[in-house]
This record gives sequence, structure tokens and C-alpha cells, in this order.
Amino acid sequence: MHLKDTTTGDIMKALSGLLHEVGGTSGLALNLVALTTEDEREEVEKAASVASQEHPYRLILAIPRDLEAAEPRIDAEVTVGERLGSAEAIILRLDGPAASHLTSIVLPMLASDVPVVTWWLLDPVRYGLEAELRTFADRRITYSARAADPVESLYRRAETYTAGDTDICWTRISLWRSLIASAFDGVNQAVEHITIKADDDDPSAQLMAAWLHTRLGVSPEIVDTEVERNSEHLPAIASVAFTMDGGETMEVQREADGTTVLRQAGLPKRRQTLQGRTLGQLLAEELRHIDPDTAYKRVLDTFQEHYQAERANA
Amino acid sequence: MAASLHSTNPLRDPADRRLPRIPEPCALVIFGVTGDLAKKKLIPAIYDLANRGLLPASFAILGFARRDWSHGTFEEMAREAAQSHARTPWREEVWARLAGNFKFVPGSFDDDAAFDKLDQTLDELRETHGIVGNAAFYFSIPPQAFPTVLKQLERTGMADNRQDGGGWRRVVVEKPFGEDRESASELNGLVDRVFTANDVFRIDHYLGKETVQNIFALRFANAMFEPIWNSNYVDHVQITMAEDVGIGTRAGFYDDNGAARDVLQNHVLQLLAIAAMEQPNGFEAEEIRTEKLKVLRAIKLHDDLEATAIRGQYTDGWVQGRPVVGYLSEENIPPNSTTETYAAVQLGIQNRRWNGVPFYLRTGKRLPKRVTEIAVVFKEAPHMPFADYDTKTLGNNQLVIRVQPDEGLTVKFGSKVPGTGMEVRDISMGFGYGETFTESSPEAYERLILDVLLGDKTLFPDAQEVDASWAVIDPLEEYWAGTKPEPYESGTWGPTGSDLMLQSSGRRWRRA
Repeated sequence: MHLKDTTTGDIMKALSGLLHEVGGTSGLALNLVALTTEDEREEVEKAASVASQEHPYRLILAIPRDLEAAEPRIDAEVTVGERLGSAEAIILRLDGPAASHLTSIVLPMLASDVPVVTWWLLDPVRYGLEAELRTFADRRITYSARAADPVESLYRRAETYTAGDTDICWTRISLWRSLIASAFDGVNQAVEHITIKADDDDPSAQLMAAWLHTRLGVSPEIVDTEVERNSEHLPAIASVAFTMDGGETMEVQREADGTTVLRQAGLPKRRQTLQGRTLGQLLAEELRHIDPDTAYKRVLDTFQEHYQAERANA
Repeated sequence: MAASLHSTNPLRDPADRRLPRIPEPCALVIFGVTGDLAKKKLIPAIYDLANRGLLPASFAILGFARRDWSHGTFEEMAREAAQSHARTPWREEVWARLAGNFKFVPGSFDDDAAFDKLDQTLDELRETHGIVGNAAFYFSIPPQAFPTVLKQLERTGMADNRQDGGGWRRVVVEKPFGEDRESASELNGLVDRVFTANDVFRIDHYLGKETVQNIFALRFANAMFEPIWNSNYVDHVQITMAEDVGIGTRAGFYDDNGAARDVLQNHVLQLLAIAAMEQPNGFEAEEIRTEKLKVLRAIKLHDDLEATAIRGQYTDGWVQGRPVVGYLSEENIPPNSTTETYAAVQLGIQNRRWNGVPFYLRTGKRLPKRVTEIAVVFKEAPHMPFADYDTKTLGNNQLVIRVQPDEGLTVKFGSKVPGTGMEVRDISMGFGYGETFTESSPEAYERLILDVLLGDKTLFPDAQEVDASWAVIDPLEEYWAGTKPEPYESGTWGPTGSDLMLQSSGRRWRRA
């Protein structure tokens, strides 16, 4: 249902009418407020519909449109269970001052009680929305790899960290981390040196280094390497190699086709497959836990210190 | 145990919930790998685990059966099984990782050479796969074969790996755990001796279901349910496990056992234990077991078994629009069989919480639909300030835990009908797992196989629980011996005796 030049009151009326038609509401797990541009709308919608199968939510998709317009204007599209999966969805196109007063539009639309997650693929600073979003979100998901200067963007996220922040660049190394962690099961030696072959500009590589540093107490060396990726949502990491204090080595290496080889001294090579996940799958992982990710916070702190130290050296 | 497994790994941080629990490199040995359970549940569950990234990098599946198969034939059969029964979408690259790790050892259970070969194959995995001795043996075989296989595992030293370079050895057994208290104790003694009691995993797949585990969360993580979870507020509890299917291909086994031994003894009593137990001190396997045992041992049958222990046997009828034959006309069932296909029983639990609250349990085949649920039926409000005619259609408040299908929870309570009068009517409010959480919860077998490989025993009943459950069933079987079950038409909710059991106290079965 399309509503032109409308109000939040009319949008909510339209939504409850639609819900009534399809037979009432089922349990909602959360509110997802996504910020995007018209160019990325389809990508976001696709991801949102994948994630909604796992987490039924009310999706409020806000697209700032004509920022120069003098008069505020809201156009809305309301759907239930159509192209957006099982979600109740409200797509907003906002003109002029309406875009910068997003809170006043979103607050009355949130389903009560259930948590609010914001997810933005656009730069909130550019749209003057960063402070606004803090006011109502329990969790904030960003994707720093999409910023103009990805690592700098991650650093800014670290500096302004609020409990509940997270970044898709962290989400997308979960499988990698899991592989490395299982390689360490049954290893009883201390680690002396770590080398990560990765694209230095990838925030995921930085987070991988920070995670290993946090947990193993050794600051990894990142060797800047060009990494061939068969999915945008893969971290740009080619290999992670460990030298133990007894001199043994262990290495996890991913080839371009996804074959991942674990080489461990004294054991035969072990192969696994590690493929990039879709944005929807990554979003679904993010929504699985709604409380602040304290493990991420510790890793982000390590990254922040490291980044500051590097900048001071430079 | 799972915690201690990873305590030495600095990369495992309990606060880091994104990292899944992954078992150490290990092998899964399946006896009876050509059977239905292996094809429809075990192998698909292994694929699903691989697809979710929950298997270790080094993992091997060893099949043992009396077939003239090569490793390749076994792998081909496993691939077909996984492709047709897996829960998660088929991905060739996931299979590619499992492929090549299937080994088959042909032989019968009394064939010493075959078991020596199996032992040798396991040892070889050390070199070829980096699997240093860890193995779980899954008994997907008839219980009569247990002693033979156990003796083979003992003889070859496969059951105990301590002298042989270390690594754990675990055994997984499926129900039935014996056919009465005595035979169960014999079987338990044998398994616990060959392996150690701690390495024996008895599968009751109901405990692997999300909804069953959610009973713990519902009861012990919320403030609003526990205060009314007792005889002050609860009128009675009904536990139903209904199946629409008949006995299928299990004629021989089923006719020797019947509904009470097949289902009541394990699934239903486990559901009862979890629904009725006291709060455990914590969620370690031992702490939960302590409370479950207390409840199971507090169960008391009614003195009047004639009115409270009902057996039934299905006759011809129609189920879901199709004609079906009666039990006595099923293939391989003796025409004078007195085995029950339906059992309903009233129990009491002798403790302060449940004093005077009847627990009604029922299970049966060829009932109208497949449903498993626990219904807690509350007492009526102590006083109703409404006119009788206004509350005529108001029933007792109910809380129903739907175990399967449509896993979830339903609460039934009275509400005013819109209008000028003060008419009050029952309404129900539901929570569906499928609606609020994942699209599809993991299969019970996925969870349980993973727990075996991780060494987490929380969801597995132990020998004492099995014994306490048989202590409930044995007197029923003794009472039923020599009697004939009451016939009921296929596609109905069981024999009339079962309805009368509740009617005598003014209650009735909830239409599940």
C-alpha cells in the first residue's frame, strides 16, 4: 500500500488494517530500523527478507530522498509478508527536514516492548543522524567496509562506542574465528608469533588481529596482501599463521575458491570450505543476540589502542 | 564437561557467543548404518551439523553393517540419505568436505575379524585424519544385539582407549533400555561396565527438542509461572503423545512391547519429570538429574488400577481420510495379540508441590493427529462475581506447552465478549517458535549428536532415571498381564475407558 505525503498516524492505521486482513499479528521479535539510499534499497530489502525468516520483525526502512527540499514530506509504502519476507515493513522516503527529524517519525512506529535495532549502510554523519539514532536503539549495526576510508571509519566507531554497537566487519569473521579456535583445541603451547596475510585496509583484518592479540597476548603482524575474494562479504584475509614457543607452526589458509587448509605440525592437512555469507545471513547472525557484545568491545578496544599507537608512530 | 574441554583454549571466551561449540577431532562409528534411523536421522543430522559449521575439521564417519559395501558405496548411500532428509539446504561444498571421510567395515556382530578391522580402521585415522583416538559408537541396532557388540568392543579394547594412546570413547544407545526393571538393570550394568557410566549416552530424542528445553527457561527464568506451578493453583496436568500412524514396519518389536514400554516409559515420563521437577541448583547435567530423579521416584500409581490404567488397541477405521486396518490385521501381528497400542494412566506425585494433583498421561497410535503436548490445567477462580449464565462457556485456565508440531505455548483464559452484557468467554493466546525465533529449529538429533561429541550429558537420561521409570511401568504391566486391551476405532481419541477415567472426577481430556 502506497501513501503519498502522509503522516505517521495514517501509516500506522494502514499497517494495522493490513495486519487485520492477514489475521492479526504473530509474535514480533524486534524492530529493525534500517537507513539506506535508494540505490542500495533493493540490496537492503533482500537482506532484510532473508533475516526476517529467522527473526520476525517490524522493519522501518528510512530512505532520505530530497535533502534540499524546504518542506518536510513523508511518502510511505506499507507491506505485510510480501517481497519483504515475513516482516511487517514500512518503507519511508523522506524529504527536507523530515530526514533530519527521523526520531520523531520512527518513535511512534516502533512495536512496543521488543528491542530496537538500527542498521545503516549509509554514513549517518553525512545525514546528521548519528546522535538521533542513539536515542532509541538498543543495538546499532554498521558496515565500516562500505565507508570511504574503512579502517578510519572503524576507528571512529571505536571512539564513539556505545554499548550495543556492532559492525558487519566483525560478523563476517565469525567463521574464520571459529576455524582458528577449533585448531587451537588441544594445543597446549603458548604462541610466540602471528602473521596475518590480509588486505591492510580491511577492517575485518584489523579486527582479526585485535581479537588474536586480545586472546593470545601477542600482537600479530599484518602483511599487506592482495586477496582475491569470491564474495564481497568475505573478509580480505588470505591466511593466519602461528609460531608456537616450541617452534612448531600452524597455519590456516584460504584459497580463492573457498577451500581452507589447516596445516598443523605433526598432523595431516585438514581441509574445510569457507564461503562468504550473504548480507542477509550476516544480518541474521547480528540479530541473534540483542544484548551488547562484550567480546567485540574488548577486541575493539585493542584495535583502538593499536591504531592510536600506529598513528603516533607515523 | 563441555566447559572443561575448552578451558585450555585461550581463543574460547564464554562471553564470545558467536563462536559455536565445536567438538575435538573425532570419529562417529554407526552400527546398523543401513537402518532407517541412520538414513533418515543420523546421516542427515551430520550433514546439517556440517552445514552449520559445527563439526571439527577432522571428522570421520565409520559404518558397520552386514553388507558387501566399499567405502564408496557407503558414501553414495550417505549422500542420498543426506540429500533427501537433511533439514538445511543442500550445498555441494559442504558435502565435499564430508566426502572422503566415510569408511565402511563389513561384517556381522559375531565376526571377530570384522571388529579387529574396525579397531584397525579407527587407529589409522590417527595418521590419515589427525584424529587421536576420539570416537563415539552409535548403537542403531536391536537391543538383543547390544551384548554381542559390547563384548566385541571390550575384547578389541575399543571401548577403552586409555592404554591405547588416549582420546575419549563414548557409546550412544537408543531406547528401549530393557523391557522391565530387571532387564534394564542388566543392560545398564553391562554398558556401564564395558564403557564407564560417564561415557554412556542414552538417547531420548524428545529431550533434544527445543520446546522441551524451553520448559526449563519457561519455569526457571520467569517470575510469573513458578508461583502458580503447584497444587494451590493447578487442578491437574495432562501429557499427551499422540501419533496418527500405525506400527509401520516395527511389528515384531512393537508386539513384544506395546505403547507403555515403547513410549510411556521414556518420552512421556521424561516430559513429566521436566514439567514437575523442582528448580535445579544449576544447569550442570548432574544437578538436573538429581531433580528429575527425585520426581520420578516420587511417582505413585493410583490404588484403583482398573479405573486408572487403561489400555487400548486400534481397530479398522479411517485416519485423515484414508481407510486403515486394525492392529490385529497388521502384517506379522498374531491375530490374538493382547499388546496395547494405546495407554493412559493416572499418576500422583508424592511431594508437597504436587500433593493431590493428578497427572494424566496418554499415548497411542492411529489417533486423529500427531501431537505431543503438556497441558497444565488450573483450578477455577475461587469466587466469580458474575452471573452463572455469563460464565457458562468459561473453562479452566490452561497453559499448554506444545512440544510438536507447531512448537510453542498457548495460554487460555477468560475475556469479556464485546457488547453491553458481561459475558465472559475463553480466548487463547499463543507463542509459536516458528514465528518468533528461527525459521526451523535444529532437529533433535543434530543437537544430541553434537552433545555426544562435545561430551555434554545434560540432555541424556542416565541408568538411575531409566530404573526409576521402569519402577513406574512394571506394576502396570503386571496388572495388565493376561488382560485384553479395550478396542478403539482408528482415527478416534482412544478407548472410552480413558474418557471415563477423567469423567469420574468431573474432568475431561483436552482436545489436543
